[in-house]
Amino acid sequence: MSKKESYKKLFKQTFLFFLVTVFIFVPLVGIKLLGWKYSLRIPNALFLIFGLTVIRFMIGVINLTPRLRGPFRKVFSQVSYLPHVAPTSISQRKKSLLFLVIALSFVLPFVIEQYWLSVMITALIYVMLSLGLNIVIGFAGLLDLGYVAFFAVGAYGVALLHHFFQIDFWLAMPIAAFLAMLVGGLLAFPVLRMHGDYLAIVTLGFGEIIRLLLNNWTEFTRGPNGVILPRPYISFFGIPFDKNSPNSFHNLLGIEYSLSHKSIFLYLCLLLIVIAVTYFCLRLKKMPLGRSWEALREDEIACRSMGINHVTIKLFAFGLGAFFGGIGGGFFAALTEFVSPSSFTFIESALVVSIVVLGGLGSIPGVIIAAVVMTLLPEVLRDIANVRVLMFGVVMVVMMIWRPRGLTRVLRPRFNKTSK
Amino acid sequence: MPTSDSVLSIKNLTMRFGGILALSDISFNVKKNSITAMIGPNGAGKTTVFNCCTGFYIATSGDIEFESKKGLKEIATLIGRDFIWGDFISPSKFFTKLYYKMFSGSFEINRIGIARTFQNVRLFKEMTVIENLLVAQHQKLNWNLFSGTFNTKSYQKKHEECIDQAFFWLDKLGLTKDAQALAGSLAYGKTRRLELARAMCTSPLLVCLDEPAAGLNARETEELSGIIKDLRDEFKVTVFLIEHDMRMVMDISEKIIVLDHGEVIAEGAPKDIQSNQKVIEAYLGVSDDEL
Ligand SMILES: Nc1ncnc2c1ncn2[C@@H]1O[C@H](COP(=O)(O)OP(=O)(O)OP(=O)(O)O)[C@@H](O)[C@H]1O
Ligand SMILES: [Mg+2]
Repeated sequence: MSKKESYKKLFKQTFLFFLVTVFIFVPLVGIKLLGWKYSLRIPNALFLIFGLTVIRFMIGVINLTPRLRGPFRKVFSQVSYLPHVAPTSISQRKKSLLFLVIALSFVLPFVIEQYWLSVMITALIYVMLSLGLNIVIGFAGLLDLGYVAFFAVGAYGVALLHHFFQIDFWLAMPIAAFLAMLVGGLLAFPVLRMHGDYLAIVTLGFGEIIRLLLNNWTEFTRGPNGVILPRPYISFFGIPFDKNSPNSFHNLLGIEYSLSHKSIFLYLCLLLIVIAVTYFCLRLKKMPLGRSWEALREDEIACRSMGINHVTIKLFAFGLGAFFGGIGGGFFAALTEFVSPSSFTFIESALVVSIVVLGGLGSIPGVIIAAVVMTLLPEVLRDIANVRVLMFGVVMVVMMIWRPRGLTRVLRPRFNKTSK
Repeated sequence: MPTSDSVLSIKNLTMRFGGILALSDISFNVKKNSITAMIGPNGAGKTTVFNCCTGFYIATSGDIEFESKKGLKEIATLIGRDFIWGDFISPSKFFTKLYYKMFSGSFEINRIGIARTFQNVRLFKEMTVIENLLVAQHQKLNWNLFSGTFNTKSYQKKHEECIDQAFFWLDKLGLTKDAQALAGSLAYGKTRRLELARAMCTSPLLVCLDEPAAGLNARETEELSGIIKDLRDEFKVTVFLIEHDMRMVMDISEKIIVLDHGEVIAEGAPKDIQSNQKVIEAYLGVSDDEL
């Protein structure tokens, strides 16, 4: 095809693209409904339409210019998605990068403002949830769409333990996490014989059961009103973060009272737990339990012929995944100091599942990055609130085209012969 | 008839899938430390026998007895047979069955010493070759989550032993170079050998190979025959195999069982089988054309 012809084709395609965007964005962004009335916001829509059209055109131009095409393809082509085997040693650069990230995340709460701090805590909670679900979906290959149930059990566990027994967070959180684990085990029993789609549907139903239970068992859970925790709820291992009590945190330290002390403390505790859980998950890949899960994901029949008790390891996967979900839930209750059923809808499960898939099933660094990005992205995009959800969708679609197996490739551990 | 030196004895085994009678009342023994082959036309029920022996199917009727390290075990009982009316009036029978049904399963079969390979290779494709072999050795490893997380000395020691064992088998089967490759990326011939290595890593007494030479070329088949003989002579395992490659079967096996339409039509030494009129009619006659 000659250059002229291909440009002609590009113009035609761009025009079609333009029509499609007009069709989508004029009603979607350009018209705002106000009850029975509406107002027109055509400039917003035009901005989007022309922006996207120009981007589409530029991509076409890049594709038609040989000098630009090479590097462009390199970045945006699908990478080989098969897992790769770990190199013999971790490079110095990677080590220092890891150190930098950890050091930064410890310094972070002292330099950012209160609002972003709570966003970061939410991000860490999602990291926690994603690591937990990664065990169930990424390692054991059991598609669990009702993960939010364990998150809810953790959060309600903490809240109700305070509500009925005034139990402190540091005791209530582990109890709630174990409770979530128990619930996870209970769920696992009926679904042990299920695979794939059937499993997904049953777990989906389970998530809804828990939500409905929280909504309707008003005597116990206070129903849709939710459970309100005292403010500040979390304490520095017994020392309250109160403003007025004489032996509270800031008085003992002799510093000025600040609302952020509590949040910084919560953030640091959660960060430590997340780091520990991450390390544990990384180790799991080299432990018989983690390896058996992955084998189960690959081929259950072969697994059984190797003498692996597929029933117990499935139970373990659900239990452990739920345990981490429960910890996440506990911290969620401590962060918001209020829990209600509306925080535990299916959309939360869907979000965590998409984090795990986007990160790359079974890839721990990928899942962590995806969790942070997916929680920060909506906050960063808050200024363009109108198209936030749309952007979110676009990011997901692009990801699935660009890296169908997730952000990062799964790394397989290397085992060398021991020198004897 | 059951003899004391048989490791596996199949007694009146019948397997029915709905209307299909896959196995009808077959009986034979597999001698300890021997190579026994099972041959027969497609659909004769060979794989079904294996599936019954390795606990993937529960036979409609009949017993399969296996001489394990812990004594004589009956396969179907170990997995948990279905309840019959008589069980509900005999509590002891009821509770033993219930126990096996709840806590046992096909995985128990490997634990008493039967390993197998599959007709259509089943590897853990997205794991490395060495990991495949480590999965198989899970019983020797320390499952404690704490010692695993902190990589304690004793945990590490056991792990290293297993790695060495895995490398031993890789070496034996000529796969050392591929140790760190993904199992899914191996050439076909190698996947067959890896599956055999994986079965051997579970340290079995009896290994059931379902068409191990299928898809291998002549040279690879030759090598495989050598390895299978080694398994018997060097590692003292009993080999029970299904194979269509007559040259290989006649070469390595001490005893051949011929199955046709779910019935044993002949059994005996290779020489007798070769000259058996029934077998030639049902199977060998066809197979000669292929050779
Ligand atoms: N799970 C099952 N459900 C229904 N029928 C089955 C099942 N498994 C096997 N069969 C039937 O049992 C018969 C024997 O099958 P089997 O796989 O044992 O044959 P085979 O001797 O291994 O043949 P091949 O040489 O092709 O491997 C076949 O007719 C098959 O259709
Ligand atoms: Mg077969």
